[in-house]
Amino acid sequence: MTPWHAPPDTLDRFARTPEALDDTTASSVEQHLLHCGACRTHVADAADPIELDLSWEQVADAIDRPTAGAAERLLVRVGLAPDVARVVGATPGLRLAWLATTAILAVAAAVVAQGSGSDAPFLVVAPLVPLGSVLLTFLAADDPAGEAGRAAPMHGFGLVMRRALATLVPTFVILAMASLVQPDLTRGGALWVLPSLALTVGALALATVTRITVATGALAVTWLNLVLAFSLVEGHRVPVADSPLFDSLGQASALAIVVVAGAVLHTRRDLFSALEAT
Amino acid sequence: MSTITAHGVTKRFGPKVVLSGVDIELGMGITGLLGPNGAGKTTLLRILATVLHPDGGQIALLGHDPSSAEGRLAVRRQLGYLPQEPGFHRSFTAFEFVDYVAILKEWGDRRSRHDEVRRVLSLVGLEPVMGTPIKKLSGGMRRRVAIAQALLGDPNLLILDEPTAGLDPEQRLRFRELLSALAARSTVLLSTHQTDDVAALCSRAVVLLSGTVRFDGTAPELAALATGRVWMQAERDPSAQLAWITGEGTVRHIGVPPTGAALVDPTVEDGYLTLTGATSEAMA
Amino acid sequence: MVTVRTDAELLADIAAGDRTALRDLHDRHAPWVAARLRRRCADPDVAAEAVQDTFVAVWKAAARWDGRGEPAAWIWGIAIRRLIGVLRHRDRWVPVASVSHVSNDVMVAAEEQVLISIEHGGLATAMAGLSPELRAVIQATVLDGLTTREAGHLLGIPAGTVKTRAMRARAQLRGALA
Repeated sequence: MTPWHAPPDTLDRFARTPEALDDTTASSVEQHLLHCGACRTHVADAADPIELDLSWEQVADAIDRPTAGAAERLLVRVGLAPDVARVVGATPGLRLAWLATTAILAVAAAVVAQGSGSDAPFLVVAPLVPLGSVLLTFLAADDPAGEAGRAAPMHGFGLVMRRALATLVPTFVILAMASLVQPDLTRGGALWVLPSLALTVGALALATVTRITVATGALAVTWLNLVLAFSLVEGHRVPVADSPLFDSLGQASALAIVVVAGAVLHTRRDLFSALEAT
Repeated sequence: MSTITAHGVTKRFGPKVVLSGVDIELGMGITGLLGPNGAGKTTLLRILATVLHPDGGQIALLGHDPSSAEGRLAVRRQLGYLPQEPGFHRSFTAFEFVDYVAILKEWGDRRSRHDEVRRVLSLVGLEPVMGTPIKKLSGGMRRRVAIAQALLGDPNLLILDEPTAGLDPEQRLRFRELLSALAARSTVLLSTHQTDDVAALCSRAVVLLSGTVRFDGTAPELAALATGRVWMQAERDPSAQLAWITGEGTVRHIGVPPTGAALVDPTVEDGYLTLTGATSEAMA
Repeated sequence: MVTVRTDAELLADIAAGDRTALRDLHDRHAPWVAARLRRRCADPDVAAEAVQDTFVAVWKAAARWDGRGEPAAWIWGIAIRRLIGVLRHRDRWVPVASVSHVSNDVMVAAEEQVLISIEHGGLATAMAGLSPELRAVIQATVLDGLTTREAGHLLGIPAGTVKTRAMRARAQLRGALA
């Protein structure tokens, strides 16, 4: 290690106007700085402190930024606001629930699409799928913020709705895609939508009255019973798509349920927080 | 102007009555909530933090009524709450957890939110470990993470359940400094077992016993309850209500002093013990 | 009383997740790294971005420093490659203006020149005799330790040109130092 140190004013020039130095001097200084802490300190002292602070702020911001998981990034891609995505995908439990829901849906939709040449399985199963999503959303809603989160403004209804929406939107998208590959598309394409919505909003509304497992379970059973009940018209077996459940009256009823359940949900929304505060 | 008013607050869990008619009225500054385990302190704090519904009584927090959703929302926007059991997810890093709570507190803008998260973590001295997962932090550090989230946004109302539990003396001192700075512009209600915290920090003291308020006044007034009832002696006097050996080797007594006893000035702890009527047998 | 940590100690602490250690390391090294990078790339914003990327990379990679050699050299290795990364990302071959610019207003004092020669032997004077393009290539490949391809990215020239110029430069230097 040479005892030679770079001259102080050369170091000052290097710190402030490095481009102005001639190459030979600059190369010497640069090589020297790799070995000499004292001269590095001199350069640091001669540099602009404000620039240094700004540089550090950027570094700090980059390393402090919580790492967004794959699910969270995906949610942002789909159009969710970053902080909502964070709230939905914040912990392994939540991310797992979201990923599991969508994965199960994709598989189920594909399986159902294989079908038996009729759109019956799809029409029967499709409305049940969002129920599953709602159930999983609520079950995974053990909020990672713990009790401290319960005292936060975004809690209860707002939080649950955000989570439910984050799961339901891709659910309905996947179902829509699955409906496109149904054999009897001309008619059956959109028959599933209103009944599915009716069951979904109904489940959310019921969740203000009872536990989510009970709400979704009861509605699933009700739906299957309805399918069964309406499959017999005047003693004849009727194809599902033709059953009164899916005709214009059936669709209108579904729509009415969506409206009523929505209203109930809205008026009873503060009970979401109340329910958790036992 | 009172920040917290509560009249006749009751709460029961099944057959057990935990709060039976609590009346308090607090304003700005720091109030200490004392009481033995099971007295209802945590329950009361949870009710005041809008996390629990009372069975009866009227409450007003910062002028809002927490029994309605709008009222609760309004309160929560100005509230910082440290629960006794934070129950946060261990896989978070300290930064991520506080950041997550900040989102729940409606800090939408990432830049300002991150600045605020860094600010509160620095206040509790956790800047070096911001990126460390909580499960790798010591108990005292975890407590400080929980304190940090309560400080987000400089709330007007701070409710802290045993904030100094698990903190070493140096951290407790730092915490006291922190709170003193906040007391000028916020209402702080903290529960603690440490009577010296109350003596050092609190302008008001409230003692909760068996679900009701037994004392509500200043810390010196609480100490004064034991005036003339505290004396020092070389040996233990069995007739005293309470007696224990101090660090210097003499025995401190609370009770009815014998004539000629060396009376000493009572501390907040003495007043508290007098009030609770704790006895040596009961504490054995 | 805060003890002053060595660079090696800082790197060890950074590997353990100590954020204040990164801050200290940044404050010590960012200024000279920034200056050295500005001599490789005319755009100060690009250089600044590269500096920040460097310390973010240090934060993540501190555990991988093998403890041998100078920490500053390790940091520079990261920095020069970050600069190339930023340049490629921005897709702007910002000409390395500084290399072809020889300061006119600075008269290197004779005494300094002697000292500099001692530091580098005759290399310094020989280098000064090279044309700017050749000097740039030697600086990139020899002094900065870049590969032919990396040097090409930095200087905005094809790798083949880097090789040719490096050969010519070395031939000239051998002649000058012989």
